Amino acid sequence: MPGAQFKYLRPEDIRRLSTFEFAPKAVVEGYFAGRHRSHTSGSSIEFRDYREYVPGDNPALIDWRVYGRTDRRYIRTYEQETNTECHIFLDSSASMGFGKKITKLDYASFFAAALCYLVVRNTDRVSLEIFDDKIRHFSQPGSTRKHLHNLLNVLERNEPGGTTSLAEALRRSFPLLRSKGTLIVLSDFFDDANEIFEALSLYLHRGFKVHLFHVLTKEERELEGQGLRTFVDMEHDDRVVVHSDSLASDYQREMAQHIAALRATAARKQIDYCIADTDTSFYELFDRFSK
Amino acid sequence: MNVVWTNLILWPLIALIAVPVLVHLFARSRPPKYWFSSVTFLRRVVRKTNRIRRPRDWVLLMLRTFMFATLISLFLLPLLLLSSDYTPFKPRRVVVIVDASASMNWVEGAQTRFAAACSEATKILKKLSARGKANVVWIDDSPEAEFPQLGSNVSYLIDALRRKEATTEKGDAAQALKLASRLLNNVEGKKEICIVSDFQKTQWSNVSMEVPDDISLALVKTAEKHAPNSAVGDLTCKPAAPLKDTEIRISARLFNFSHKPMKRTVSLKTKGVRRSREVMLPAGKDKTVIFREKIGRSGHIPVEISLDKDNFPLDDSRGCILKVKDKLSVAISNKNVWGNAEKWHRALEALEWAEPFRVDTAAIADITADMVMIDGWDGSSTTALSGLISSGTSVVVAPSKDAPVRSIQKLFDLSRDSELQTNVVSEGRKFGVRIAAAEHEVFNLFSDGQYGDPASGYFSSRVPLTLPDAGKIKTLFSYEDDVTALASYRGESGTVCFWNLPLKENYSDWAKRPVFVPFLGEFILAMRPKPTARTQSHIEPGDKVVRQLSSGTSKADAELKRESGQQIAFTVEPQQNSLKALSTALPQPGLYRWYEKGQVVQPHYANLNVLESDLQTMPPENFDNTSALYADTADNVNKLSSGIKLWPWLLGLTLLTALIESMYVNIVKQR
Repeated sequence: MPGAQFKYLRPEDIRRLSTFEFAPKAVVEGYFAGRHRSHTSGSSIEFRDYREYVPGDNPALIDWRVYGRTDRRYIRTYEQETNTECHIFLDSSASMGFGKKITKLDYASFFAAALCYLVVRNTDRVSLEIFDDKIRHFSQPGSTRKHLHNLLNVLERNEPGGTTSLAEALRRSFPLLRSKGTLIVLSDFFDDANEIFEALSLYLHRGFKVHLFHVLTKEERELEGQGLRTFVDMEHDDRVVVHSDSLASDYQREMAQHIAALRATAARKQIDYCIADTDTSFYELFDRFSK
Repeated sequence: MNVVWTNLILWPLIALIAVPVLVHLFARSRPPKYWFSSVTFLRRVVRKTNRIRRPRDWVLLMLRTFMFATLISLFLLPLLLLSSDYTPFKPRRVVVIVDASASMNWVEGAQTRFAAACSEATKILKKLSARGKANVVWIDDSPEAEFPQLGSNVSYLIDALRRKEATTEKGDAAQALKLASRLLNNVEGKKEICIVSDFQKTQWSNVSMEVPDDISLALVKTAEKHAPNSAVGDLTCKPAAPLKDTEIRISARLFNFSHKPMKRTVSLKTKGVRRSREVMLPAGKDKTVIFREKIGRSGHIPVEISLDKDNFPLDDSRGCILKVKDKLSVAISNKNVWGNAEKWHRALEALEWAEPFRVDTAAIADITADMVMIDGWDGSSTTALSGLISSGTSVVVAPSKDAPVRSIQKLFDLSRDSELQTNVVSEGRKFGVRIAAAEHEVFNLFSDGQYGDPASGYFSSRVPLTLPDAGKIKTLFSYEDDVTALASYRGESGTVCFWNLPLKENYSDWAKRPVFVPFLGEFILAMRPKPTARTQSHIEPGDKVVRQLSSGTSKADAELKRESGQQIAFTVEPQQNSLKALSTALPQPGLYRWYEKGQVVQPHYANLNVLESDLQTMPPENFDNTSALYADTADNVNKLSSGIKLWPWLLGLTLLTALIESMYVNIVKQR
């Protein structure tokens, strides 16, 4: 992308992403020929199986050699290579604006931009949904460079605000996605875990491969070194006066329990769950797609 | 007990105690804001931990407030006073009463009770400020103060404490306390009396501790509760004035004041005799040991009973002086009305231990003899006879027929109203006598009949009087018609006998009978003066002894010495024909001897007062002055009287609280 400068997709990122490939292990359904296997049998060079001919099948597909040997009509089926769709859900609630070196939203935006780039580079389709307690933006899947530019611009204009309601956003987005693919959720998951997974069940039932990236800062995980403070909730303006040192251990325990609960539920539902620590490079998150 | 703050200028600092509370209240209310992604978890954690955290916070708040309070109090220099009056600007006026009585000689550990008492008294005096005045009163037989009034020369008093030695006298604690109160009378300042003593129970149990209201009283005890002492408590010799080679009964009461039985060796030492025996003394009780000895020498013979030495040797021996006589001197009147005088004299001359001599009845007041026998007493010189009796001389009177009844009543201490039955005189008739008191010691010799019947013989004349056989009058012989023949009256001071047995040949054949001489001998021996050695020689350390020096003896010729050779000073006063020597106080128990021209003329034996031997001490609750401060050391008394400085304690408390607070915080953090 010569001449274009995007906040979340810098030239050095593009250079580095040249060695990456977005290859989720998911069977996709698509209309365009691509590099991902589809359950839809089609014209391809890769043999899949024999199936007895039924009226309505294309007679050209009958394997006449088999007919000559067995006097029965069979047709050969092939794996159809198709393109995949990647749907990125980016939580942009006020809480995502938290972070000292880098806000969680910036971190998530960098990762989302890189994902978009990799998907489009593979001529796959990518969609982006920005939500808080409502859907603030939704881009239909697309695989063109122009589509990518639009997405990057949307990310740059995005600001944290509103309250987190991931479950609601997932429920509302479901009708918008016409074909299954890979669903990537970038959020801090400050929502009710049961409701989140209930909402995700719709997608799972439809065959989506779901990846949850729990974006957290070190301060959120450890709550240390703050001393006596009035902690103000960035989403609800809720206040609580505590001495972080005296509560740190209890808080860490509570947070660990929350993460463990999310991870356990995700594992039970065969959802990939990963902590995205803002102190680590977002490139490391791409490893999740190879598992 | 109250607390005063001596650094009142910093009193406003007390408001700083509120700092931790204010910090707790305000610092928590407006801490800086911190925008956080979500406080959901924080709130959940706070809700869970509040139940634990709140008490922790309160504990921390209390610890910190307490630490502040102690820190601030420290700068206010508090003083803990046990007495209600706090008069820091009044100079102290202290009288230290130091017990120097005999019981203070008991050795506890490495020093005597007295040494410990002097040490404590010195501490009290050293704490006096330059404006303070003091005096020291010694408790002994006659308590005295070092200064006539309170003085500021404390170093002299300290030196006096260093020089003084415990006496062996009993202590007059009540007198010492009165003297101390008197010394503080009309004195301006903070008046204090401090008694340093072992508070021996026998000495202090009856002492009133009441002092005037403006005087504070402090008691310092320098004795352990238990002192396992044993002592020779009492010594009795009977007879006290024995005749040479006659048996003497020497009995001693040995005391064990400890809680355990003791096996001790008791020894008798007298002229040429030394005997020992082992005795087991029961715990807390006494036991009497008896020795029977004969002394083959006449004169003043010291007798001493001793125990083997213990920590309190003063009472381990006790002695007395026996006046052993060669012969019993019997003065017999010249008058021979009933023929008695002649018969008495002749019979007594036959007895080797008797020394009869005739005297003029008119000069009876000046007679010096063990016994005086008056024949045909006409009732005169009653006062002189009473004087003899009270001086210890036994008197035998054979009244004449015309002796006034009133004189007899007076001599025998009978009231005027008492009836002296007068019988009809029947001259010419022969009367027999009978023994009226067979159990009397006079008749002991005749109990087996070997020496005949003392009631044999007849009497044809007599005084027809019957004395009442009751009370102190004992009838020995009585006539057939109950007329008293022989009676004795043993009064508190001496013995007087009523002899109504005429011995002239015209009146009786009794004097011719063989039984007469032994009976008269037994009668004389029984009726002779019998003072006990105990009453005869009741001298204690601290007493002064008196001696009438022999004529021609000057002060230079006389000496009073202890058995160890230590000379005792004495003064002399001129009397009519000689000098009267008065010693200084005898310093120790033991034997003292008067010498005249190098010869021993009179011994004395000083014995420790038996009350001093029981070294048990009084518990403090038994003192009647409940407001008195009771302490075991003088340091405590100084603290009690001048107050206890609390700042070192507060400093320690502050540091301790800080340590506890930091430990508590660490523990809370770790959890």
